[in-house]
Amino acid sequence: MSSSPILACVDLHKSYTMGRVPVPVLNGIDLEVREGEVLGLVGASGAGKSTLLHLLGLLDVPSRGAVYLRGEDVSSKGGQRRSALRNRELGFVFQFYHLISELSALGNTLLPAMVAPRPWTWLLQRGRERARARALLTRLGLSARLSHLPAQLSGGERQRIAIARALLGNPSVVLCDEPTGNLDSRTGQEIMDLLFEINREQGTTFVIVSHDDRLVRRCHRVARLADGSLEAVYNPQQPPAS
Amino acid sequence: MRLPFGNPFSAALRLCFPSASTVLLGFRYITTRWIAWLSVLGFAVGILVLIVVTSVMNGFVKEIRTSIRSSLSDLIVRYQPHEKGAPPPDLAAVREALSEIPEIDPEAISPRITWFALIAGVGINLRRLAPNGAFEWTRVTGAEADSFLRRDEALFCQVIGIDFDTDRRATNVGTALRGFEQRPTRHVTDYPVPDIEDPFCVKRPADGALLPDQLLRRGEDGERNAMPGVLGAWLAAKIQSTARQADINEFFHRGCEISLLTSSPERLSSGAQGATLTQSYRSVVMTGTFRTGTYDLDKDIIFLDRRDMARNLLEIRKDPDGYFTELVLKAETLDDEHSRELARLVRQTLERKVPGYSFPVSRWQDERRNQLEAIDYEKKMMAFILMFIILVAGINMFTTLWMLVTEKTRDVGILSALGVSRLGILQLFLTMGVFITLIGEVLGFIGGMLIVENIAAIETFLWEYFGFKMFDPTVYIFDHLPAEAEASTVTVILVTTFLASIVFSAAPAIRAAAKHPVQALRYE
Repeated sequence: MSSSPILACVDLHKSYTMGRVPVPVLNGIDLEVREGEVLGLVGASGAGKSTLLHLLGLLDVPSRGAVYLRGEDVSSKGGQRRSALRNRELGFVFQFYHLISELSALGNTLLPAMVAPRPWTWLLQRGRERARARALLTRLGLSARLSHLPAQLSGGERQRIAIARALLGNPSVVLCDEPTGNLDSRTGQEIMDLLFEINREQGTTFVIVSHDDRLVRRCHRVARLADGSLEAVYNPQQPPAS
Repeated sequence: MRLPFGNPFSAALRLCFPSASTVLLGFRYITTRWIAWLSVLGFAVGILVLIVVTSVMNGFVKEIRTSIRSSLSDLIVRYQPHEKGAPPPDLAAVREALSEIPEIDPEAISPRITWFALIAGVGINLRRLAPNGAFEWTRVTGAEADSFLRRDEALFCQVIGIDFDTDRRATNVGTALRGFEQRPTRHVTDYPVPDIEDPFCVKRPADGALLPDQLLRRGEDGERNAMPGVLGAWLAAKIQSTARQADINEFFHRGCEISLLTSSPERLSSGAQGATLTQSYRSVVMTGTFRTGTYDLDKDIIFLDRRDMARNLLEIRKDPDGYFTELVLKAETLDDEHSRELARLVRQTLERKVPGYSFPVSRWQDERRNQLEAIDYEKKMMAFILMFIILVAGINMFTTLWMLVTEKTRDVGILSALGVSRLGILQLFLTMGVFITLIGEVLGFIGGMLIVENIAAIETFLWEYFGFKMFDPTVYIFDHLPAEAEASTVTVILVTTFLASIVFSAAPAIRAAAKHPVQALRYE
């Protein structure tokens, strides 16, 4: 694990407008995500964890402050550029899997690889990408489920496909929003094991929002948010007194 | 100000080339939803109807133009003597004058006599094999010269005397004799002439005479001669039907006679107390039928040999061989402007070379100008009205896409997270609109062309199995339903529909692209 920050935010503010009243959600967050680490984001409901994750994932733009990816300010880039960065540099895993119901397991996994190329370019690289996606799904234990639609799969299997989809493009950072939140205890444990195994073997950086103590305890560092502010960043083996 | 899609020119360019994910998802979203197939069906039906209707209208216009042109010839020259009662101009002099005009084919200058008559009765002769092995002819009882007239059922007809050899070059009379081959129809019975090179020949090469010998003798025993004539197939059918009403139950067939009640131009003009009509009966024996495909012509016209008609029907005493009422000409020039100039030239040449007469010249377009313009106008109006079908199909597609945007809101968020830009989301829903339209257009085009190509078979099928009369030849001027798809019209239909589909998919696509990714991901 390197100590250089791959993703960082400086003085990050976000507020939404309810009617005419601005409602602050994040109040000046400064945070670094180091390359190869698993960073946990914890906090009570409404603390701003998901909002921070969306801002780090370039799905939303901050009201103030900046997000840096490999030292470059990416939050001020245009929509097209941010979309391209999301496609190349970031991966997402959501609590409710968010798979496309019309596509098979293999189709869902391949989708990020199909976003950039035109159809005729895709025909040239299709074979290579399919082989990679197959290998990834096989590694995640889904070799027999390649042609199945999401509706034909269990929750754990769907989340594995979501993980495979996030990993296909070898992203710099994978952002996970409560990846075990919709799974039973045993399946949740399997998914946790899988994420840490990938981190160990490939050095993939993870930012994980979770309420699951078992998961949080295994993270390398944990950032705790309270009322839109960063309360503490600590080693989960030595948690600060709350 | 930063535009949501970046540089508008590069955005427009990118919009034309969707990504692989857009094509895949667009196709999957469409093919997995029955409501999208309903939209496809809407476009398919719209395109099909437009192609069929415009093809039928196009067929009508072309058929009418061809029919009018070929039956009337390119130019029709009539004459008016400056002195009342003067004989017709010298045919040889007229021919010679016309031969000087290079655009006129000298072989296709044909004199005609157009006259009118009533069909007063029918004579049906039956040829039977007698016990002695020879053929004998018998006349069917009741089939007399005035059998129709006595029942007030005389039929009007137009008698046209032609010089077949030259007329076939100037008009479509030669083609009309083969009409039974070119326009097969269940509506009438055709009786092809025995000799296509000599339609007025009453001898059949295979089995001899069409008529009893005494009817074929000319100018002997003071008997009236039966003139060989070719009847319009619909006229023959009318005679058959009238004969039935007159209790004559034998078929009116090739070799049967009709008696014409008429007068003559000489009798009209030489009446002692001005124009008095002296009627006379003349017999015409049917050597066969013709079909131009134009019902109006095929139900009224009898073709006779011009010289025979002048001598025996009109009883022209002075130079009957040179008697004519009009000339039909074939011109090399076909376009509207040149033919107008040519008509003027013909008139001036004739009036200079053949003094004492004026020569009004009309073109085939002039003869039926109102009819041609009306049909062309109807075609355009029909296409315009039918475009509303595309409007309905477009609204149908708009509704489908609008619903899909709502249904797929979360997918918009997922795709955004995967790196699809707003332009990509816009492109996805536009692509779906394009897919719906293209599939509909392909299906509609195939269906439409199949119907256009097989419209006669479909019409016959509907008639035979369901008794549904899709096309009534007695109402229209044709005896068949013409349909001809025109490449330019079909292209306009397909391109207009395609452009309309882009307009109809734009609003749902913009709505989808405007969705915020985070809100879309949280959509329940």
